[in-house]
Amino acid sequence: MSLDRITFALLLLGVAGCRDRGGDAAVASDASDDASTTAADPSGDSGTTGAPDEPKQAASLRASVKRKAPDVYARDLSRALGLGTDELCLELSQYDCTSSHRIALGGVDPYDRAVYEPLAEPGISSPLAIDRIALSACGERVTRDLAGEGLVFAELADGTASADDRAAIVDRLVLRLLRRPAEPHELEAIAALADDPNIPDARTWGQLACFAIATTLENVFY
Amino acid sequence: MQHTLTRRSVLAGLGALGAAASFGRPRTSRADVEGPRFLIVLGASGGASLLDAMLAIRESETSNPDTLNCFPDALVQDVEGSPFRAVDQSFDALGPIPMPFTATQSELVARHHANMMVATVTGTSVNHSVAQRRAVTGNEAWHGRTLQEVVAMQHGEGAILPNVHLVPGVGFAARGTDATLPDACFAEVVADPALWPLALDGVLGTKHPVEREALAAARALRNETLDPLSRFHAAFAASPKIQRWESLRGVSQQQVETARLINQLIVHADGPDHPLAAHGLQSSPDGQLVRDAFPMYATDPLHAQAALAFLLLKNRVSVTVTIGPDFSASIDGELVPGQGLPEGAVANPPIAFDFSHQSHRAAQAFMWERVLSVADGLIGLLQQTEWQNGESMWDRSMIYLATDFGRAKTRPAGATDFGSGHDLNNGIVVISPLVKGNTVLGGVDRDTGLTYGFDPVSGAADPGRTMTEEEIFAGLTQALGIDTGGELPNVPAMSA
Repeated sequence: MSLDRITFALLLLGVAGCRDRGGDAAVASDASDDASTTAADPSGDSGTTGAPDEPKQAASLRASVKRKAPDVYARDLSRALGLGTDELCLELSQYDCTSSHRIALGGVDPYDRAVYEPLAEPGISSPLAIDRIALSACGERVTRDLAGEGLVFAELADGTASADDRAAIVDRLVLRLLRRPAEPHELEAIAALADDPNIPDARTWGQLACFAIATTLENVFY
Repeated sequence: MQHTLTRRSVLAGLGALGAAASFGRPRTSRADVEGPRFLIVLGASGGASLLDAMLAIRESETSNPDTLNCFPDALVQDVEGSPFRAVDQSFDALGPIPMPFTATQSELVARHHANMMVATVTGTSVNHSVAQRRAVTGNEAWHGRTLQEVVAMQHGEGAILPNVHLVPGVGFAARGTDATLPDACFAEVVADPALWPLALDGVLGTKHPVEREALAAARALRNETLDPLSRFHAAFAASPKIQRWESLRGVSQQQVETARLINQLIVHADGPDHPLAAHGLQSSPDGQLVRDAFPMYATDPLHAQAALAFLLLKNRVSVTVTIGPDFSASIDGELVPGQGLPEGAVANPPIAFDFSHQSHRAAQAFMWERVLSVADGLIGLLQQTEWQNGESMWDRSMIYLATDFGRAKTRPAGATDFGSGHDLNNGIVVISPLVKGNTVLGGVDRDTGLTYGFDPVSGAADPGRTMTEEEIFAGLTQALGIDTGGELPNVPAMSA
């Protein structure tokens, strides 16, 4: 057996070993992460997802994260929701939100405002700007899907959302936005948002389910 | 019955007189004002030379009329009843920019000389960013805190955004280095005064709005379930960045949205460029007031900043704001071959006061007129805004005209159009009822153009010394009623 064939076979075995759920492909590094997590967690108690039946996650020793640059956040949202970056959000229907709030979003503007480096810290308008972009983009995707595009929220076409519909939508949203399958507790919690008395209809639920995921720390930072 | 005058009755009587005097008659000069004080840092980026303004020297007064940066006698105006001077000039061009303009400092200085103080200072850096930062930190005099941060700390209680910077990218808007200060002391940065207010609400004005309660439910889902139970959070919850973000999504965000700041701070009127009504928004109730005071708000960044700055102060959102021209050129006009630009087409030359490298006289004249005009507009608005009991907001406000440094004191022999470099020796201008008005602290040597200092306690001019950035910082904090715990030099000479 040639070295190439052996290598290929090993790769196939590795991918197969990583799958822990039918249907969508799981994140390839899950198995290795679990192993290293266990190995790095001698007490077995530091870090947890909080869901009792799910593997524990150890706390990062350095906890070094970065906020997505505004264009990166916009591009990720654009790809996840199948919208152009110029279709995500417009202030007053004219001014691209990402550009309008670029500095608050952690960007720079060396030509017009002599801001050569991102602000050292976000301000009060930073998470609000993210909220506005996500709310607008998610609303746009819901609107288009209800008009027939059916990319993310096809199940809402009749104005209702059964439990199965909600599960499918949530799974799809998490996969698209966070590029991983939804955890069971996420499926449950996001679907349950529809039962909140302040959520008037399936359309609003869909938009806000999308919003809640799109504005999580996991999607804003990396 | 015979009345006996006691000390108690005399004091009670004097107190009654004082209280009666405060109703209907604003106080104009005192340093012991109770309650919050407001600071406007108006950053004169690039190096505003006092020799081209309040400390101007006449040719007849110096032994070096040909080579000193001094003016023909006729151009230097005395401001009646004050120690200040003003230089009124007209130019056919702003250096190499073919645009005529006229600068009349005398009018502005005369109007505000009673509350104007010039204090000399010699800085420590000829680097713009470094010098600008030192102008607001006193060269890290007090744990690296900026003047704006200490004002927010002392006077910002109850203000939702106590410290706001409307001119990013300059050292005057630098963040201090004292991490022990509460987060609220550090500035909120505004890059675009026209659209920034929209980012003070998560739903108003968006294309697909939802009911606020529905949004709250989604946020609660995110904040209380999705985030805290995620693997990502388990891994990175200890990150200061994560914690900061979570903090910003909490109480302060609720306060901002509850206060509906978005509807208080939009300067623009409803119109094609800003279709506010169509998006469920409205211009600030004081929108017309600030648009009238700063009519170039749509094209001149400094006017836009000043307009929003006043709204932030008036609506008690902030206690300190930082504005100023930056180094970007702002031009709105057609260049006609052979005729140049129409007057007023240039709102800001490239590199602001530092355009003095190209053409010192024109740049200084243009920029002094620019910053003093904006200060004048703000003072007018603050004077007509009541604080309480007949007292105006101006009575407890300070405009600190901070600048990087001065400019070279000499010029090529006989030249009227020349370039100038940076010079550490200069001074500051403060306009405020809280400082010793109608006063020049220190002086200027009319043969060298170098300024000299003053006794920090008595204020007596002292040609044998210059003032440090730390001393000026200390004097400003005293005038602003900041409790520094004795950690800074005592400079009561600057206070009213």
